[in-house]
Amino acid sequence: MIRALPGCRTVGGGRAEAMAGARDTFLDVFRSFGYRLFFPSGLQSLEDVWPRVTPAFRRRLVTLLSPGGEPCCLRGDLTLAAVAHLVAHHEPHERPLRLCYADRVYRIPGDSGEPLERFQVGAELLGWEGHGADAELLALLMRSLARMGATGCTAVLGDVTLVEEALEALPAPIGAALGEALRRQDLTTYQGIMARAELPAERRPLLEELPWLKGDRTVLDRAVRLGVAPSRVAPLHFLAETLESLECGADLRFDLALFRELGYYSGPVFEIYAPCGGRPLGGGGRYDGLLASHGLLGQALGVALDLEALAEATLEKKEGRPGVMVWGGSGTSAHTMKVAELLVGRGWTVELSWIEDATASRSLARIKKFRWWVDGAAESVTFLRNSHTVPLERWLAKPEDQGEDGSC
Amino acid sequence: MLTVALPTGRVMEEARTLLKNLGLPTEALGQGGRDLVVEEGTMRYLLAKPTDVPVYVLWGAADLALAGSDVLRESGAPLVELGDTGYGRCRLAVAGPPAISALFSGAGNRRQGLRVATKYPRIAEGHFSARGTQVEIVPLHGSIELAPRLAMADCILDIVQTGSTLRANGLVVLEDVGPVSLRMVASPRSARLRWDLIAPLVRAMETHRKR
Repeated sequence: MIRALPGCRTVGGGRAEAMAGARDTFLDVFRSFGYRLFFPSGLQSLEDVWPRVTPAFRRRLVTLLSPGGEPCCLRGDLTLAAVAHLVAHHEPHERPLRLCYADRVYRIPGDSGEPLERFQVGAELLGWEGHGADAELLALLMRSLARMGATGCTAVLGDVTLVEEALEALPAPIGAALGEALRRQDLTTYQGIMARAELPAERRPLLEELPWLKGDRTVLDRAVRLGVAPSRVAPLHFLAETLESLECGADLRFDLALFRELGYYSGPVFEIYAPCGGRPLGGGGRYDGLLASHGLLGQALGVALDLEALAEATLEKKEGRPGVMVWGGSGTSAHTMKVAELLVGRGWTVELSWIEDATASRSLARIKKFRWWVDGAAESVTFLRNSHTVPLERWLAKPEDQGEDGSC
Repeated sequence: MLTVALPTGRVMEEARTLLKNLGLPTEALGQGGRDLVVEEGTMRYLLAKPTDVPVYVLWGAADLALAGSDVLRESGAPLVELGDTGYGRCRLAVAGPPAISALFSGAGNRRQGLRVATKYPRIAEGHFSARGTQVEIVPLHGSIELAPRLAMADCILDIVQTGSTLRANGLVVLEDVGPVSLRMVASPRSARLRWDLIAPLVRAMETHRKR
């Protein structure tokens, strides 16, 4: 018996198809806009990763020694790998660098039973200057979600620098405790600290309201009324306006206390939610500081989504079109392959069946839920529900109309 | 419609009282039928085993829940904790026979290797390891107080309300772990996308608690 290791993921069947579909669509959209595919190493040097992530995330790294005896971890995050790739392989004049990927990450499961390994798709835009990139990345992300059939997804925007600025004028222990409560999404602790702490009177209104600044774009105006400089919310306004003009505005919400787990973000951040499920599909944001930690100037932005969660959001929509089974039991293999290639060339997905018995092959096709069975040698097509058979050439002309109503 | 997961058992009645005080419909909830899904007005209530309540929220089956802070801490589910309802107050404590109370008054190494029976293995592990003490956890699902009497464990980590159950089993509180109360939680998704419906309930809860 093969034992499945706890937390490890092996995916097949319809879910794997849905994952592949979501992955391909995501990568197609980003590659069309100049994002280059990137396959990072599965091992990362612990020396590089450790100082760049939060203590909570460090505890989730799967650490080990490389065969050379160097402390390493299994890749826990793809953004760090992307930045390391930029540093190691690209000259300053080659920036900005646009990367996209579909790969696995490994994290020690948290308390709520997450898997050890996850499939992620993501994109990174590294080393750019000026406005526009946030909107580019988010717009492409929303486009790709729509194209893969993950309809009804919502992007929640925040800005970690707003939180940092709200907390920075406070005595360090109080600021740190409030920040930690927000990171853990623990408003009970947050309110408890607020009730006990002696805070500058002018900071209190904003700090009290910060966890409540969630909702539509009006929360940005509320933040300004509470003392946030208009220039500080301008990037979020700009992003919202751009996305609205690209018809993604209906899918936007704001949470000005939004934190991301990894801890290297340094500007606008976002999370993506599907219509179902309690947790986000993923998210991303600005991480200029991470770039700076490698000695690079400039801005950086990335997104990563959980591919299995994405597949879940698209699974029902992707199971619509069955393929065609092509039987090669009575003719030459070469002829059957040519018929299969003809069908693939017309956009069909085929599965070859080399069973000698045609009846057994048709039964198998029915079990596998194929609608059509093609006899490669006879060049005929059988509609499996009522066994109507038509010549392949005629069927190819109008496949959806033939067989179902017996019109032929 | 907002869906709220509620814990059956010990705190159910308190949860119902709270909901009523927040102005939410609770008549059908009070009728004590066997339905595990109760719809009243714009609310849908899911009645679940207390330890399952965080799971319902995390997987998006419920927008909100009322759950004990002990259950939330033990589950480790990354939920948004919206506030302390003030209901269901009790304490988590380490308790044991008076004979071992001296072990809890000195340095941590005195407690090294103790066997601790509990239905909160994660909390127990965290509590003792944070003090540098290695203990052996004996996970149980009920009648925890029996364990020291039957020599299965040296002490227990459990909820203490009045202390009468402890006394009845010859146990005393040895160390406080922390307060417990009924908390209102939401899934990250609902806290961000349904805040317009949730925020008034949180405000009402805060107002009610301050009275």
